[in-house]
Amino acid sequence: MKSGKEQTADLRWALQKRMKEVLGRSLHIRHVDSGSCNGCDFEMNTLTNPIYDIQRFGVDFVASPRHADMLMVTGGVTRHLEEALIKTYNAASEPKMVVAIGACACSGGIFGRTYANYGGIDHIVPVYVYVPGCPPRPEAIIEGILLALDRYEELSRNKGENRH
Amino acid sequence: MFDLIRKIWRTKTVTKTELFTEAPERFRGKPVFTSSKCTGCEACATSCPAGAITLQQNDDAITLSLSYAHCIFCGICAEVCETNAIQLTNEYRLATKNKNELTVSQQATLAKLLTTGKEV
Repeated sequence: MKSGKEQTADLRWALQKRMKEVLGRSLHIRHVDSGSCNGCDFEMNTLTNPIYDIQRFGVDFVASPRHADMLMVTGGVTRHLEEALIKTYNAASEPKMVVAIGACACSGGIFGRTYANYGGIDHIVPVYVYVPGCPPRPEAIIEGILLALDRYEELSRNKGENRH
Repeated sequence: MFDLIRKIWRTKTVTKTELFTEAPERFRGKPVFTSSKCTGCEACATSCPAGAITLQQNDDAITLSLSYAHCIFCGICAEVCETNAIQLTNEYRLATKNKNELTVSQQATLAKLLTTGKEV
């Protein structure tokens, strides 16, 4: 029987444990801004500050989609940034885990679907996990990462079944 | 130098020890809808800036659907609702793999609406 302190420690390292199970290595994230107001971007930056300190679990933000396992997309894809999103998606390495952060990325949010705004990144690229919120709390983003790992595990398992 | 050390000593470790902590009581999170209190006045649907709330009126019932994907958690719906049928909770863990899960719809029967309407 584990003591209460040990159990909370287990919960705390659940993210790292899960990453080792699913990917076998640390998780690298590339942030893609597709026309957001920067609210969600600030919340994502908050993940690396001393309070949340997501880097202790092995999650890192990288400067190129070529290094990234996961794309975190904020903003509801404006017409000018559609090309940037598609290029980033094509340049990302497998598995291309796409996580939509914020109301705009999920469905267009307050801007909706207009002539300049596509209204959600799922019109452009396939999405693994939706994290609603305006902006979502950093903890909600951590939950989104955990769910994306679940989804990747499901998809990779199905892929294996199809091969046989 | 001494000030710096004193500052570090005072601040101590700020890193969270748990992965998920409860949001403050006044945090505007997931809005919840109580169908028994609803009068069908449509004040929430018209006041919602993001168009997250839609009301559909049928012959005998009214269906209110709330999309968390559109919601910007401004709390205006809770403010304008006279009977407090919509209230914002401090629940923030809304992430999902399936987009359809983000839309919640609830039904309220029109008979109840008419009686409550008469009272008002």
